[in-house]
Amino acid sequence: MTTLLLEFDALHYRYPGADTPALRGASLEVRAREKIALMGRNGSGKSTLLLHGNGLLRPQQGVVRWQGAAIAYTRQALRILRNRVGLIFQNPDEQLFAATLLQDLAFGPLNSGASEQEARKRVEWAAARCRIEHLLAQPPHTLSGGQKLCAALAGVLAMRPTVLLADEVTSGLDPWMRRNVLSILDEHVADGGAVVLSTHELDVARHWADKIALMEEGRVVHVASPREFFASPAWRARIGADLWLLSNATPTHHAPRNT
Amino acid sequence: MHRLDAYAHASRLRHVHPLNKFAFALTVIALCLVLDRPAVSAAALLWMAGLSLLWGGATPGFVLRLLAAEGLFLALSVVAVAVQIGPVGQGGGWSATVTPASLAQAGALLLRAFACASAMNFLALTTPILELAAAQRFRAPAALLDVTLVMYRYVFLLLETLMRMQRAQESRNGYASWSATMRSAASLGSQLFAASWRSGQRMEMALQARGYEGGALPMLAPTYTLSWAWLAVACLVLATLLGLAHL
Repeated sequence: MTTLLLEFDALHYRYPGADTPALRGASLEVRAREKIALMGRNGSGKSTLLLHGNGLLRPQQGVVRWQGAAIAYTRQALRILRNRVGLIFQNPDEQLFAATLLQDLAFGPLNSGASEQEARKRVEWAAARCRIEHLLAQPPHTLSGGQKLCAALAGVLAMRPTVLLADEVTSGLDPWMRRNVLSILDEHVADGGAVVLSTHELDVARHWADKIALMEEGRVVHVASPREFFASPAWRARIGADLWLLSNATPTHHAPRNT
Repeated sequence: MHRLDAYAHASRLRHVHPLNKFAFALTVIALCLVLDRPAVSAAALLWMAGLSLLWGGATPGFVLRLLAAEGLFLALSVVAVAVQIGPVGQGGGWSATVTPASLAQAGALLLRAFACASAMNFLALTTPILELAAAQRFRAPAALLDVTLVMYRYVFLLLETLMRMQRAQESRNGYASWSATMRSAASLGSQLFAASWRSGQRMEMALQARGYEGGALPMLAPTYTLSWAWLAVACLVLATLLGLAHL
């Protein structure tokens, strides 16, 4: 059994003003060198769970632990947690804020107390890993969607986290860019890290992940290998793998058309 | 704005310290104003446009379009100098006259204004505006610079959101009639505000995720190199302008 890194233990969370809780006892363990695909329907609580991993949300019940120790939610504890657990957002435009990629990538390391020299070193390393060294002098708005995503990924990697939480970062990418992003995540795992990737893409879950964690109504209801998931008709149905068979070509209401 | 920014970031003179370029452009403007000679203005116009094109890397089409837009504005402004309007006799009539002297004065003024605009174009085409602001880091309050920096990024995000929303409205005939245009524009305004508010909140969350705890945004100081070639050319330009002062 590999080292237990991050642990979500029976988390409950309700957003202010919401009728229903986003998390109702969600539990998940993340171990070193694991690649976990976090699946589930829209609104099942995937993003909320990931926000807890980086300390951006504090559970109303339950505990988040790092290597067995509960997170204290003090400024110092959060700083340490965010150096260990990096969070990549779905929309890179909301992560990239600085005038150039160099400035943006250095933001995290400088916040962590790195010297300018150390920050530059980390930026160079992260940019090389994400294949964007040639873009460091560019402002974010001149980049393509895929390049922005790689930049957002590099901005988090520059903080040298052990666990990466990635919120639907492969959706909307072409197959080449998706392969590129997945290979960056693979390299992170090969270095001893772990990745939790929230995704709706069945092929990513099936071929890239070691484990699939399925969320339903704010709980992680099943964690198993992709092989187990896809071998079981019941679990396969619950991740939506057979839905294409159910497409209904007969319209229930005939709409008038403009000709 | 997008293209101007793109040229500034891609400029071959970007490595020169922004304050050097700023001081150079200001000196050229000051010489044009103080020496007040058409030959100096013409030389400054040619030098600055030439440097923007040949060294800065901007395309002739873009520089010409920029100058044309400024030229139109400047030409309209000097009409009042070229045309002299005054009362005729005691009858209460008015006349508009153009004399060779007033035309020459308007021409000289236009040329001088063009030269100054060209110097500012040179600065804008070779220096990203934020680098200029960052170079003042030790003279301006950090909070002001941080707001400038985030706003700069935000302007582009807002423009992209605006374009996306406008296209979505247009694709559903949102601008097909006067009333539809009014309706669409009103909803665009309110939605843009809501979208930018949400986007701002998510951006704040993303900053926190990378360890931001409030206060000034930590930034790497940009590095610049001392270019002897640039210094030589800058001195040559200023010497030319001073040399032409006697013509």
